[in-house]
Amino acid sequence: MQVVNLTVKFKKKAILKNINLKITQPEIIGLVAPNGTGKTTLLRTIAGLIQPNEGSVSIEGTTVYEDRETYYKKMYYVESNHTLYSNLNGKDHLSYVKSVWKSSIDVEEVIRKLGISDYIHKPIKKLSLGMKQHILLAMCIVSDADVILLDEPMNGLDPTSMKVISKYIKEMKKNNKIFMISSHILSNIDTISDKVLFLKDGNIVCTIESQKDGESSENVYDKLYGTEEE
Amino acid sequence: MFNQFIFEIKKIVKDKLYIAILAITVALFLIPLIAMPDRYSNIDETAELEAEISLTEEGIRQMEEANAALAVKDETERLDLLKNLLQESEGNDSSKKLEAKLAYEEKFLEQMEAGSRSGIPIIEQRKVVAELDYLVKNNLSYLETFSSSTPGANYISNIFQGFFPFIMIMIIPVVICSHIFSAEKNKETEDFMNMTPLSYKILVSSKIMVSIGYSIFNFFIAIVISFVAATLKNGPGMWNYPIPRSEDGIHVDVITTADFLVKVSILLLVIIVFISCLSILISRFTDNFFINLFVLLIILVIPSTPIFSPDSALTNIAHYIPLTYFDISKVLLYGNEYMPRVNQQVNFMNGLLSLSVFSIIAATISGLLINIQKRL
Repeated sequence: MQVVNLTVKFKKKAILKNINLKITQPEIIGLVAPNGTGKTTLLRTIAGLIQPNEGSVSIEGTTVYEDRETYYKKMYYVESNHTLYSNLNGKDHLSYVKSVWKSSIDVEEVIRKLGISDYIHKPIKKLSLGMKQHILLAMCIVSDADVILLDEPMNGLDPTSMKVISKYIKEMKKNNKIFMISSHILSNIDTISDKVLFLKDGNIVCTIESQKDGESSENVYDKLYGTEEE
Repeated sequence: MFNQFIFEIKKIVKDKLYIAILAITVALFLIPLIAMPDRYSNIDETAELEAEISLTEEGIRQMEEANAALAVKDETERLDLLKNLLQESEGNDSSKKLEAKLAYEEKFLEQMEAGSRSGIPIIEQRKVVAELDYLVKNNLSYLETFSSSTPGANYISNIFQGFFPFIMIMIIPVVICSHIFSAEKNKETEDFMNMTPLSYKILVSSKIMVSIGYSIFNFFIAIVISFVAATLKNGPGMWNYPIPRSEDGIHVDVITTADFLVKVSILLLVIIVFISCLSILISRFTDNFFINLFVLLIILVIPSTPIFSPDSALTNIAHYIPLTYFDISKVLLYGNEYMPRVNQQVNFMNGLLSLSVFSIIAATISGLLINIQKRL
């Protein structure tokens, strides 16, 4: 996946400025920044939901504007549970994703591994936030897309679920997947990510390889964004 | 495409709103069967004939006093036919009663055309005679239509002949289409749909097919249930029962109930396709269900306003405008003296053509806009 000189403005104010990013191998990239500083904008732009003012995003040389069907076959974006159809159940969503992404992933195995069999046939509107989050993550797993973008995927999950999901993500990386995950749960980001990018003033200002460098995201976060006491 | 189509169907089937729409459609079609007055009884008919005979006799007596010999002769002929009709009405031979009724109505028409009698518009009287004539020639029984006693096939025919205003029928596909094309935004699932590895053509075509399919399904279920209910109550009816109409306001022909219903089905299908294409075009400018619905409702109401009357500025071009064809009854039966067509070019074939062409235009423009906007 390649991001080249990406600039996104909203009402003349630059939310993202000349972002450059190149990921050539399976990796889990964490994305960290305070609320309202461009994490979601970056993910939505990569997902093709926002048209950049300048620059481009491509996956294996294809941009969403050149060939959206090919682009989306390789990409899956998980944002919020509002994108689920409230009257349908989890199985409806998973079956749909499997058929449309033409995935060979076994839906029943995903249901079993994520431990969501108890409520997979219940309508989405009857599920808790955590359950919906599980369904969303199951959908991205079933898609078998090469690039998976997750916007705060651990929201609403209990620690056990977070461990299961984190383990699943790491396993999927071994199947040549690229993940970009935004999160405020910095300890979790450190555990699963190969690299963590920090956004500030519309730019990627810092990149750490927490597991290699030994530096925690929390420390970097405090240095970059400060706290109220400081 | 198939998977997308199935997914769209699931969204409909599992949404209580669409089930409510179906229930309302069925209820609407059953209301006349329950609420309309029952058959005009023999007693009512006999009393009316006797009253008419008394009036006619009194009229003849006055003409005799005025020495109007020709008028007396004419009215006496009509009186004889009236008495014959009364006699046959009190008997058990329905075919003789029908012949007597035909003879009487033909005499009445003759007097209207001669200017010696007034009543309903002449063309409407010609339709009465044409209907009776067809019944007698084809050895069919007379049916009381537009009542809760109307049997199955003819009850369904009445629904589309103007049992209630056409707006009440057309509002069903309008609500369905408005909701289907605005539901993604309303439910914030638009982003998910926009990120599927499917072409916009497939995404939109699926929605169009489902909106058309479900609208047809609604009508189909409502028609079947009301046909069964009317049949259980009043019998199956006659598919070859005549419906008189006049294309030029002078000559009358008849169309059978079966033929009428076949044409209703075809025209209704094409209207639904048009409404669907229009709804998707409106959705290019607004994602709001209520605005989409409101715009479609305005379009639906326009044909019943003075804008579409026979003496309006649009008279000469109305047959090109697809909205003209929403009132199916007027299109297929050419209207009547009380509610005429806007012009004589408004007919079934022109309706198919106009609606099809404008559907293609609306769909094409929608496709272009979707490609420019790069979103559903």
